[in-house]
Amino acid sequence: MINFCEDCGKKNTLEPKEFREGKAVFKCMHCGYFNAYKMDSPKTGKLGKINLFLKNNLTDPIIIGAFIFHLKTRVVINHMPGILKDSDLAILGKLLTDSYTLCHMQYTDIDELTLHISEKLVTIQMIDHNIAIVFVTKKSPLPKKIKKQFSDLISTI
Amino acid sequence: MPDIKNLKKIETLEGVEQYIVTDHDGSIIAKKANTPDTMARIVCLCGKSFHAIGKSNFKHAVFSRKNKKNLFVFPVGKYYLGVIKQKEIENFIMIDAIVNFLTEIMKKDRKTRRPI
Repeated sequence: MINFCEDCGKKNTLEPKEFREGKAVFKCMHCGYFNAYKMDSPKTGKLGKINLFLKNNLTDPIIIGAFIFHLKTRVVINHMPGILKDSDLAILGKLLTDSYTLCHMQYTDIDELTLHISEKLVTIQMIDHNIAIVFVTKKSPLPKKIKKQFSDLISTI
Repeated sequence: MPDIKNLKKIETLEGVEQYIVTDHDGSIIAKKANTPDTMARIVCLCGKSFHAIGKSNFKHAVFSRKNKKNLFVFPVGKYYLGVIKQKEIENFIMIDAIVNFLTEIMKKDRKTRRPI
């Protein structure tokens, strides 16, 4: 799982053993800073369950990819095609979540934002106050079956 | 670039409950909105962000709401158009109607600007 150093902001890939008692605990491989911040375990926590869901459901040919964006720690799970760098996804995630938040301040019942770009649809949903999921699909929205399964998953975690 | 007079006719389009047209600085060019200043801010800032993401390929954005009165953002030349739909109308019908409306007024505008 990708986590960012609180000090230098650089990317670190963590092993499950580096998640303890609801925290990501690791020494940054770039600057050596000792990080210990609140984060669910990738296996048992909310993000772990979502990651597993994505691994199992992104095979539909209509889906190009998906990623999870954390408002503080940026891209935490990446299932997008390799051509897109984490830095590109971080900018995309930031622009989308900023827009979502701005609109949500006025219209509090917003539950989804869909962007139509060229022949692609980019859909963003907030999972909680800090975490958003972004799906990118070809032309059509996310298949109803997957959407329903995902919303069931979110309501249980 | 569409004539504002023509763009204002969006108000008469079936399914449109509120609308706003802003320029890229957020100034309101035309409106029929309950909270025009807030709606203008949202439409302009989000429009700019979506343009930054998709450049000229940005077609439109939809903020889905639980009350079904979804908010749409469209780039229209140097303006952004924001529309809140009536809850009874489906998204895809509203989008088609707006796209057709914008195509028509762009065509009209091209005709009126043709040199004699």
